[in-house]
Amino acid sequence: MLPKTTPPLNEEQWKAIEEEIKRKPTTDEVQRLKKIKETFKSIPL
Amino acid sequence: MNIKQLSPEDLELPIILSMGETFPDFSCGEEGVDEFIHQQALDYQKENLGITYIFKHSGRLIGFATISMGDLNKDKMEAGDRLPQSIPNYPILLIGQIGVCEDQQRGGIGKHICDFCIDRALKLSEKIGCRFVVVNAVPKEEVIRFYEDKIGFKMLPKQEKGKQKTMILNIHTYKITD
Repeated sequence: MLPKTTPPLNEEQWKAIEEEIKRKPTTDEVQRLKKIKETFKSIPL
Repeated sequence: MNIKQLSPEDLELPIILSMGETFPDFSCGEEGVDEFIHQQALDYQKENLGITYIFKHSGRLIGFATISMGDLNKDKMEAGDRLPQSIPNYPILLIGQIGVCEDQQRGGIGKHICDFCIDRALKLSEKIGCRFVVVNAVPKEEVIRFYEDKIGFKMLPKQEKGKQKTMILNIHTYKITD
């Protein structure tokens, strides 16, 4: 089974995306991203 | 035979799938995912449609993820959306396939592989732009719960029943150099 593409988003889904774009990350989210960064710091792009 | 439950620390560093590598013994329990890694991943990669990162332990494939770039865009434009400045789309890193061998599931390996994909997105966001990590999840409750509770994905509302579920993770504007 090949990977599936992401279907175009309907109005409600798009609204959720735009709300997400405006949302500030929580402290937990920032900490999690920092931890991920630290875990894989030795693996360049 | 007792099989040792591995943790992410036991895995070798992820590497890109290379020519000639096959993993006939790998099974994650999802037929379509197994079919992909057995038969399609190399060709998919050769065509630059998705890169497969493999995670091994002692030479054995434990898990993998196939990622590619994509975007989120709106289904229908409304009359007021026709000006270029109001037609946004958001660049994403798509986790197209992900699998962990059956005997190593529920030990944190899947989370580790997802985190690796998020790290790719964080690094990409500083080079070419990338705002979300997206996965089109198998519509099974345990799969959805894994992505929501363990990884932090959010399911988009109003999706068709029984079909793949588009889930997003906002990487915000967090910079890898922060």
